Amino acid sequence: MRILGIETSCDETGVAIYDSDDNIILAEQLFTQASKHAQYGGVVPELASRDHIPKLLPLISMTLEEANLSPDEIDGIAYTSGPGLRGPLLTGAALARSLSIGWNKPCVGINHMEAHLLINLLEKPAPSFPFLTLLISGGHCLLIKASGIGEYEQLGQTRDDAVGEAFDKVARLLGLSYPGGPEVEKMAKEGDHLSYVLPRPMTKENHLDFSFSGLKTAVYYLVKSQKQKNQEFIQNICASFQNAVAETLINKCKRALSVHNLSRLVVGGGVAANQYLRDRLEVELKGIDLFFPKLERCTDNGAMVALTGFYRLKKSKSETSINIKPRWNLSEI
Amino acid sequence: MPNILAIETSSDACSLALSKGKEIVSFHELMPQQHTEKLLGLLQQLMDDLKATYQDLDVIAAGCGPGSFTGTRLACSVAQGLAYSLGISTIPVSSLQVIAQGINREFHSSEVNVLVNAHMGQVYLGNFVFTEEELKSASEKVLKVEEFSDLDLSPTSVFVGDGCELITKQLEELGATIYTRYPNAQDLLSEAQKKFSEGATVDPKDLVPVYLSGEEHWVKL
Amino acid sequence: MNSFQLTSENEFETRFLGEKLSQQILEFNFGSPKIVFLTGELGTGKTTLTKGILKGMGYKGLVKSPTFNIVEIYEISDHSVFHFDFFRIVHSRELSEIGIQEYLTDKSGISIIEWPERASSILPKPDLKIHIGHSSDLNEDVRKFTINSDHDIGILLG
Repeated sequence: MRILGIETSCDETGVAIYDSDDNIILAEQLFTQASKHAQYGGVVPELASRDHIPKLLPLISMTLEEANLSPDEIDGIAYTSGPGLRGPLLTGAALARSLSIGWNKPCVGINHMEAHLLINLLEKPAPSFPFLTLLISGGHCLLIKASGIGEYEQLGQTRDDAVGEAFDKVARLLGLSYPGGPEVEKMAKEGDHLSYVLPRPMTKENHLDFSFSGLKTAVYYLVKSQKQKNQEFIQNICASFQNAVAETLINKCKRALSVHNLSRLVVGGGVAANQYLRDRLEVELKGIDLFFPKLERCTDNGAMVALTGFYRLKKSKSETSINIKPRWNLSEI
Repeated sequence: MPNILAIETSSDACSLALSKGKEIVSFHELMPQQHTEKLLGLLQQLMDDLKATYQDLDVIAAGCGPGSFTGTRLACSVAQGLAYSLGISTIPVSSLQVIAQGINREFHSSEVNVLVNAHMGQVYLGNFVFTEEELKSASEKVLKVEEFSDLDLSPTSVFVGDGCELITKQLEELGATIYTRYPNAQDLLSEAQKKFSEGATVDPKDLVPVYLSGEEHWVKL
Repeated sequence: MNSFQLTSENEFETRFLGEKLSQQILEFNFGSPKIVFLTGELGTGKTTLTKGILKGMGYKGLVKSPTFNIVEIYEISDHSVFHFDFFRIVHSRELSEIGIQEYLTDKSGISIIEWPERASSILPKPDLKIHIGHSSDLNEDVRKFTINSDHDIGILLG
């Protein structure tokens, strides 16, 4: 089967075609709006909604061209139904459903978090079930046990800020630009990650939830108390912050792997692109099979939607209304 | 006659019309916040009523705003997706013009001012001048409510739309005729028939919402 | 206008203040919407205070930062609490698109709004304004609260 996937849950417009016979992505296109939102310090929902509309059809026709396929050769359409921002979700859902009517193909709305979780099935070797998933992005921080396609158990989540949000807010405190993740990572490369002691929230507690709000506050005070905010100071703060984030995530992953007797860890979401974090996980989770998506597939993309759409279309009936679920929890699938 | 589907969801009214040959069916109902959920089912109902299929369509017309951001995007996205997948083109029409043409057809008014509540203290104002049923000039902009007192409004023109409520006093002093009306897809359909015969269609990729967004925006014919 | 200042020594006290405030908030405008503004720099604990308010109202679940979704909604027996973060709102019109009027006019609704200054032109007058500041000696745990209201909130002083 060949599935066209459409992703518009936030500020990336992603389109891809997945071929299940060979388990490969035949073609994919991505337009990222990040630079437009940078001037506002974060994703502006109204701007994101506006930008998807003129981009979607050109990206779809480019993807079909790149795959050298006509619409007749597509077997189904998948779009992100949620979770995400209402306006952006609506543009992708309305377009996908309408295309499915004109082409007379089945269409399915998929869960964005499931898509991040399954993307590694495209890699070789692919993780086999069961595995633990750590999903870290601008809007989420989740630990999920995946026992099979559609069999997910949420083990932990953030009790306040998402990881990516913590990166963005720390970047703002340090006067770095948005999105904060890559900026903080760049600065941290030159800094000493042991220079400041920052909290590792909730790591002494047995549950698997996270908290990153206190980390942001701790950085605030370091910034306030420092008179000379030179480059070196910023680099050291960034390095220490990343260290604290990494150790917090590693602590909870270790606990989850051991409590649930799992030996494979799949990491996904935009923050999974952070190389420092990848390196730390590799070093500190010896004996665990670690799976990371390709860098370009950590952030939102059409490939993960197309892939997930394939599994969902096998299971569910094609829906007929424009269906968006901005708060769709993975455990409600 | 071309077979046309007309979608107008920029206001609280979900307004749809379909023509097949000489037959026309339509749906027009106030249903705020429910357009997204119900739209595709309602379109299928119109198709069934005329025993038509989407493949019969020659062109798709959309009310492309200004109006509700969400509703305008819905109409444009659905028109884009249907037209692209059916290999046909689209006809965008201003949602303010749709209202004006409805008034012109019904009351033969030669000058129609359309006022639509843009919320947050703003109003979309469209000025449309007709010679009989022919649209001669059109201008559209967004104004702050308080800016209306500086406008030289003509007492011989008629005023229509939910934005009129925001300047009731001024309109009463002017002694102007005021109508209530939401954009109706039947009026959109008539305009689309005319534009289709003139060959004034656009590629679905180029069908995008008009927001006006605070900038002065003039549409010249 | 009733106005007073309070100091919280730590996060625990901030939550407790939220719990106390929650009872006051519930008594405002019987049968009408209630609106609370929360101002203060990043990291002062606006969401922490909101957690306390929600706990005081009987909400037992997780309270997440509303930054990403703009609004998080909590259903408590007789009330709906809408926790907003307007930091990323650049055009007040955006708020009408997310249906702000429905939230603000919901008779059983309590709106707790972070960064209300981003949309001040369209928001109604709040029942309660809370500004959270860091302490002057930069003690990491201490927060100064400035609370303003047209309602009688003197009981808090006791």
